[in-house]
Amino acid sequence: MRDAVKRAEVDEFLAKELERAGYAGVDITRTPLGTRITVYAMRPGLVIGRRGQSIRELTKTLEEKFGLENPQIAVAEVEVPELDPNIMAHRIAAALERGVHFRRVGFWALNRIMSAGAFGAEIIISGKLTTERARYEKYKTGYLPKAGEPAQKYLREAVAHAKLKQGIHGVKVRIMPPVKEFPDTVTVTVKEEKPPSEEVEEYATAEG
Amino acid sequence: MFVIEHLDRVGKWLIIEYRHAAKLVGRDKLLITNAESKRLAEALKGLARVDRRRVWEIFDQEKLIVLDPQAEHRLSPRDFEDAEAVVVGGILGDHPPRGRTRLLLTEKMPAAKARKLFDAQLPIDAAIYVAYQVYLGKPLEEIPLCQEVEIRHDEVHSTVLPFAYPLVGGVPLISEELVEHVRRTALRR
Repeated sequence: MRDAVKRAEVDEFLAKELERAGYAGVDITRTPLGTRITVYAMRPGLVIGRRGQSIRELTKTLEEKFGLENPQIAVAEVEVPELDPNIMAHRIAAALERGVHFRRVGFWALNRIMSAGAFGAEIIISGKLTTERARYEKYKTGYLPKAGEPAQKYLREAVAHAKLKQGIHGVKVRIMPPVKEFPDTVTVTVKEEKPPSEEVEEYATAEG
Repeated sequence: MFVIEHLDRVGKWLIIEYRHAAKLVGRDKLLITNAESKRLAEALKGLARVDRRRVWEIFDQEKLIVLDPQAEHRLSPRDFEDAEAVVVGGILGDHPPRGRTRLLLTEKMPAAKARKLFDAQLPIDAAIYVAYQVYLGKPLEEIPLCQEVEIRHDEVHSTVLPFAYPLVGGVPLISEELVEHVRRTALRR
């Protein structure tokens, strides 16, 4: 429980610190030598910094602020940022803050995600959007299970916030990445049938 | 008498809800109070009866029922026995709700009866409709409700209104004018 809370705190801290680097997530594992931290980002160069200065500072902060033992930070690049809900949610929030209309942003993000090969995606932008009452704008396409094993195992979700003059707008992104095989996929194997004449010949040879 | 104590900024959405509320209970049974400026009072006159005073300056507090989602008890037909009016806050709610009715209305009238309709947040017109049904003798439990309304614009895009709407004949009671307004604002680039 304590580990989970610490993990969430580190994740929140890194999301704030590495927003410009396109922060996508973190993996924390304990090893006999210390704590191994893998940071996923769209622009690893910005996480590392000039001659590793930023990463050194980050290591120091994680050690002092969160009490992580001997943190070893590795940075991994996110290969397809469009399939990462964290990156997409922050991109949408940034676009909203720049003043782009929510419908334009919603469609743009949905097209980018689907063009990257996702099976399905959903974008929800919520808040007092151009009207006086709060509401959600939902953009959804493709295969997007909400329950069951495929949803638990593969569906990825992230939330970001856009701070606007009218108030805070929430952005939720759900992505179903391309999966080779779902647990409920049914495959039918066709048994090869030999022509009857061949079968008779085989029988005759066997009988002698 | 059904009263809407006007407490929010005037906008198109608010006017649509006021108009629909007046249509549901009848123009004569609806009073809009706290129309702070003379201009606003004039503008609202076309919808219902209007008064520039606060509701507690017009009615005896003890004979008022305040509809507050944070109230402890639910509204029942018996509550109307000694009541002169039901008051709904003219507030366009946030999601999640900020509890402004309590702050701006219930706390100002400690002698009034505070009652809630459901645990979910209802729009102004829907709250007026449900209160009217209870006034006519229908218990709250017999009024079906949907938790939110989704307005589809096309295959991909839809707008969700995260407020509870009563179902009439299996269909959410929402004004056509509001659906049009939502559609217009959602599709405008």
